[in-house]
Amino acid sequence: MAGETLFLGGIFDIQDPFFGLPIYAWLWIFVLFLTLCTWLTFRYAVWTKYTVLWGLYDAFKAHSKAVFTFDIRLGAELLSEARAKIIADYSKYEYVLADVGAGFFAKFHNFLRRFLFYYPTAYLDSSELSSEEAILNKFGHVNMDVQIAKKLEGETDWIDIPSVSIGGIDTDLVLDADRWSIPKSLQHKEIEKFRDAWNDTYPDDRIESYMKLQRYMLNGKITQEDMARETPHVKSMIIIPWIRIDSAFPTVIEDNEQAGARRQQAKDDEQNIANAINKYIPYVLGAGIGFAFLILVFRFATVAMAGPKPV
Amino acid sequence: MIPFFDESVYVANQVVTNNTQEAGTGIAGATINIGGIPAQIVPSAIHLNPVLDWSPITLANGTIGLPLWLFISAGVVLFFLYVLLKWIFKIRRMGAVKGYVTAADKGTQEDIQVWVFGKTKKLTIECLKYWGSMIHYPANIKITKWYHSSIMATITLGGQTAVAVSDDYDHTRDIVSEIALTEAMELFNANQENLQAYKDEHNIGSLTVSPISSFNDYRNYGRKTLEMLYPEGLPIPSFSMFDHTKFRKIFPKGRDGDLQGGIFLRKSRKLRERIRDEGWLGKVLPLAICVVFVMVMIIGASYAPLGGH
Repeated sequence: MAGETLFLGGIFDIQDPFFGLPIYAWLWIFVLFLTLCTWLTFRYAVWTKYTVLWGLYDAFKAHSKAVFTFDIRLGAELLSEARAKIIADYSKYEYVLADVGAGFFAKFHNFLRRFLFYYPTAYLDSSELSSEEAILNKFGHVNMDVQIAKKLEGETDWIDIPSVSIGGIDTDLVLDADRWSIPKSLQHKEIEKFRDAWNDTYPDDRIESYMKLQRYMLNGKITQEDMARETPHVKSMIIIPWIRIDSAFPTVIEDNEQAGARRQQAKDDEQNIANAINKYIPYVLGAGIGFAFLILVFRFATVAMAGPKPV
Repeated sequence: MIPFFDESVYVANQVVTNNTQEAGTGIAGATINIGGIPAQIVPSAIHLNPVLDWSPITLANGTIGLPLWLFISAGVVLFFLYVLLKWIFKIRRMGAVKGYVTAADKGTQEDIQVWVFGKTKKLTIECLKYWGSMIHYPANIKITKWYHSSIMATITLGGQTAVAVSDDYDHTRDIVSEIALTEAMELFNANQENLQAYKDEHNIGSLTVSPISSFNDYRNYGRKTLEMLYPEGLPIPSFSMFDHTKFRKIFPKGRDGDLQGGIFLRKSRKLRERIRDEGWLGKVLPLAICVVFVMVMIIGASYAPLGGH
């Protein structure tokens, strides 16, 4: 109102007769309602449909990898890299923080330390994770178990080549045929126990990932006896029957070649069946021509039998 | 400046609220002179708010003020655009897997979720057509087709079924079988000397000991040899990483999904392009023409003059 002229002649200041609200207030209400509708529509009508694939977006946000795991029947699930590959959940361990002293300020200090403590700092040094990053990651819910596992196990033991890229997100495809990565499975619990025992015995050759465990099982570093004793329900190998392999990768490949031709044949047959009514054309033609001929014959015969017309 | 003013009569900032139509012109923006100060007559329908109509910025030599509500409105619109664009970018980020949702929405036998592995190591999830054991794109211009023959090669994701294909092979892919074959062949190729010794020791003539490095090797002797070594089936590590490029060396040569495995399918495609659905009229028209022709003949035969009669 500092100017001499109202903005746009004051048209937006006109009050409605019912509630006494100016037009701009109604516009606010409309736009805010539109915003709410937009949010609800995208959230529940679109985004919900991607539920099983949300992990891809989370991986994109966290600049991390995504992992598709498959069971033996090709049931797929999208998991975080930590959940899919690492045996232990480091956040579940109890971390004991020594008190720095008694007294009010010391107690407050202790409380603050506990409040701000983020467990990866117990494994990663300050060059790998600064205090500021730790606080940000703690409250940003950034999981750092993969970095921890890589450090504990050794970077060289870690397979870090992504299988594929999905929309710019590095994604691994992992077959978990024996339910190792399912936290509630018996196999997982046995593996977790075995890992703890192994790491206590061989602190310089730790096992943190399923990949390393699998490798040690195959190359004999973990013996069959160890497995039978410690992990009786865990199978290192699964048998895939030949019928499945032959169906998936046939040696007779003419079927592939002929499949398109068969499909075409079916389409042609469909057309032929649709055109079946035209098969009556010769019969209709024959009968019609015969009937017309008969009419002509009868007419000629009638004329011939009638004799000459009287003059 | 935030003015404190009486709603009905306001002159502090050269604006007058006139509640009587007679006194004012009825047109917002008209000015009168009050005590030598030009002031604006505000029609009765307009109600100025002391806070929201305050102008933090004045334009055009102080004559036009931009009121506070305008800035709040801009903020509200920007908030709407932020929400809209945020969701659009979020959904667009999932573009590579959009086929999952499309296939789930359609839910027919013909519309199937397909995981397409490219030679560029990209994986996209697309909604393609499944008809007569063939997976193909809905658009004819994309001629790539795949043959799906194994129910065991069907993936399940979130209750939706899917198949995996790649553009360098005209058959759907079974991740589990490929891992099994890759592992078995690598083991077989790495243990040639031991196998030869085993063969000589047990005098097994039918066991071919030679590396399997191509589809022809696998077809000619590899399949049979592996079955001799593993009669029940191929052992597979319980926990394995799948590298979709690892198995490529075993794919039959020249059988890209684009080529559809050879001349048969290309020929059938050409045939399909030639055939057009004639529609109902096209199907009945030949018979209808025939019937009309016959009727004309019969009528002609019935009424044609016979030598003057």
